[in-house]
This record gives sequence, C-alpha cells and structure tokens, in this order.
Amino acid sequence: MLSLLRYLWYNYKNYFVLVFFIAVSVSLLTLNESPRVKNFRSFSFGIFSVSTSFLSSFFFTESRDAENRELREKNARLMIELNKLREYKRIAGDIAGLKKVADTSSHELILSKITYKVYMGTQLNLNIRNGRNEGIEPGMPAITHNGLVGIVKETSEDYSVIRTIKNSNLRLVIRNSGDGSQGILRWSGSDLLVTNLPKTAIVNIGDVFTTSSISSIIDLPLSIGRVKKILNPEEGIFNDILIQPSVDVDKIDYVFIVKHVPSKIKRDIELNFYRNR
Amino acid sequence: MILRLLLPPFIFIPIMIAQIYFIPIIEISGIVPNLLIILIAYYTLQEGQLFGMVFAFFVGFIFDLSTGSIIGASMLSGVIAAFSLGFFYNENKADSYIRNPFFPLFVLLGCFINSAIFNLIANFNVNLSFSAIILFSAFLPALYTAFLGAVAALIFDGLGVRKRIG
Repeated sequence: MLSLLRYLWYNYKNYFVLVFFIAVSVSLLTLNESPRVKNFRSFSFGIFSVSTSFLSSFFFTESRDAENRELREKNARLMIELNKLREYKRIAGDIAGLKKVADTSSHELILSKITYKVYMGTQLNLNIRNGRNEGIEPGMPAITHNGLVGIVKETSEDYSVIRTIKNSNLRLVIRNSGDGSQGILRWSGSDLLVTNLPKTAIVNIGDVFTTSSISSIIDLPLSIGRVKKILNPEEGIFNDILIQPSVDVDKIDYVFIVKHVPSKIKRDIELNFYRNR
Repeated sequence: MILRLLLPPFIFIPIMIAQIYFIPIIEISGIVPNLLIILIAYYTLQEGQLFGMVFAFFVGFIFDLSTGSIIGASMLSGVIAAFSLGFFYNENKADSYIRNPFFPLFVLLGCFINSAIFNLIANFNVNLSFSAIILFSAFLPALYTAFLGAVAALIFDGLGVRKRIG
C-alpha cells in the first residue's frame, strides 16, 4: 500500500499539487465575502499601500497648488449641480423643488490622490489615499469634475479601493437626460454599454446619460457619458447603446469621494445588492 | 541551493511593485502587460512544473492581498498557467527556452491562459461577451506581455543568465 502511494506520488505529484492548489484557491474564492476575509484583505492592502505609498510620488508627478485643487472641487460640484438641473428640467418640478435639488452644499467632497491602479482583465480598480479615517465608506461614489469614476468597494483606515466604471462587475441603472429612459450600464471588457433600454426610448447620438435616482447604488445624478452609437437599432426588444465615457479612468490622478450617505436603514437595505456582487 | 530558494521572493517583490505602480503608466487603451507572468514563466521553464506552480500560488496570493482584489483568482489562474507551461520544461533546453524567440512564445501562452482563466473566474457574467474576454482581456494583454517577454529575454542574454543561477 505504502509503495503504491509512493509510486503514485512519485509519478503524479504535480497533479496532486495542482489539485491541492486549485482546491485551496477555490475555497478562498468562496470565502471572499466573509467578514473575516474582508477585514484581512482591508488590513493587508492597507499595509501594502502604506509601505509603498512613497513610490506613488515617483509615478504620479503632477504638481498642483491649492488653487488648482479648489477649482477641481468647484468643477466637481458644478458637474453634480448641472446633472441635477438636467434632471429637474426633465421632470419639470416646481421652483421650491429646484432650489432643493440644486443645493449641492450638503454633499461633502473629499479630494483623494490615486496611489495606484490595478488592471486585471476586464476589471480596473483604483487604490486611493483616503479611507475610514476620513469617513469614506463602501458604496460612496467617486467622481471627477467630468463625471462618475466608480464606487468605493472596500476601505481600510487610510486607503480605499474604488471599483471603476471599467469593471465588468459594476452595473448601474442610468438614465438618458433627454427622454428619461433608463437602462443598465455595464463594461463589456472593451466598451461601456447601456443595455436593456426599451426600443420605444428616443435616443440620439450625443445624448447625455447620468446615474438614475432609482439606482440602488447611486441616487445622485452623476454624468456617465454621451451616446456614441446605437448598436442594434433594427433587432431585438431592447436597444444596446455604446457610450463615450465622460471620464477617462485610465488617465486620472485624483478623484473626489462624495460623502453621500442615505439613511442607515435605506442604505443597509439598498447596498445589499452591491455587497452581494 | 538555499540561495536558489531565497532569490525568487527578492525578485518577485520589486516586480510586483513595478506591476502595480509602473505598468499603469504604459497601458494602451486599458491593455496592460503582466510582469508577474514573465517571472512565473521564467521560473517554470528554469526550475520545472512543480516549482512554477508553488511559486505562482504564492505570487498570486500576495498579489491578491496587496491589491485588495478577489483572493484566490490570481492564485488559481497563475497555478494553471504554470502547470501548462511546465509541460515545456526540459532541463537540457532550459537555457534556450529563456531566450528569443522561444521565451516570448511561452510568455504569450502563459499570459493568455492566466488572463482567460482569471477573467472567467473573477468576471463570470453571462452578459459579458466571450469574444471580449478572449480578445481584449486575454489575447491583447498576452501579446503585450510577450513583447516585454522578448525584452526580458534580451536582458537575460545581456546579463548572461544561465540555468541554476544563484
């Protein structure tokens, strides 16, 4: 028996090791959402970010002064305001409603430097230099003055990971500012698409898409991009739209985190959808 | 012998830091090379299938932890890539396999397998176009990585790297 085992190990040890490693990897994959693994992951990427953060200054050398920072923040606020006004125009609410909707002062913005970008196939995640200590929480939107960058996925004390719009696991309900039709935003691996848009929707090249107020992840109207091409105008029951993103996620060095926290009960219920992804 | 075992972690850490900090700078339309696969291919072709798999497993684990991504995905894809490349291990040809024109071809194969498996695991989604995964997320990064593999082979040549280095 022992000699048989020895024979098997001697001749097939690579296969045994392969099966063992696959089993361990798959087990870890299934444990990714458990709180212990999440905490360990937050801790480990926090440690890595802290220990290598000095390197980011070598690779992200953009010099900025306080005025530049202020202008970026103003632009980001204006972008939110503009989209809210677009939304307001569409729904044609009353003046009091306009005042309420256009008031963006309630949204605190945190300017954050990108320490590094992680490209993994159809996923692009950003690691930023702000975390729980600044009040950043999973689910908060990350923006630039041009529009939405992504959603905070995970946080450690001083660092956070953002799941960008160029990540196939991020899907959002978005709305056409023109006719108000809604579809689902997703990254195909090469293009930003809007799917499940009814054929009855009136979509024109150049229309602006923003996040929809009915989204369970982001309920602020943030710019996503403009319609570049309608992919299947003649077939199917839904339209697929190719979007030119407002933000070139590959080129940015800084983001603003919108400290937009809905009521705790609502957030806990709604973000379940995001957390389970 | 001890140095042979200790050397890979010391080489791996700067390569991983370069992968995280430097590689995004040279992205082309979101397509980036994978330096870690070059390292895995090198060690698999030099030291064999078993060594390559063990190395890929730990490299994947540390990379997943450092980047805050899904733990297990890089490990699994790296191990399978190393296992596949391990079939080309030949002690007598190891020197020529880490030189042009063979090395970039091995890197191309390894990176393609690694990226395709990684994307099928980490981004499993019925809506995702299979051709997009194969072309944009697996083949093009593999091609880019193979180019860097050719550069690495030239460096190995220049440094006079031989089998059983260390």
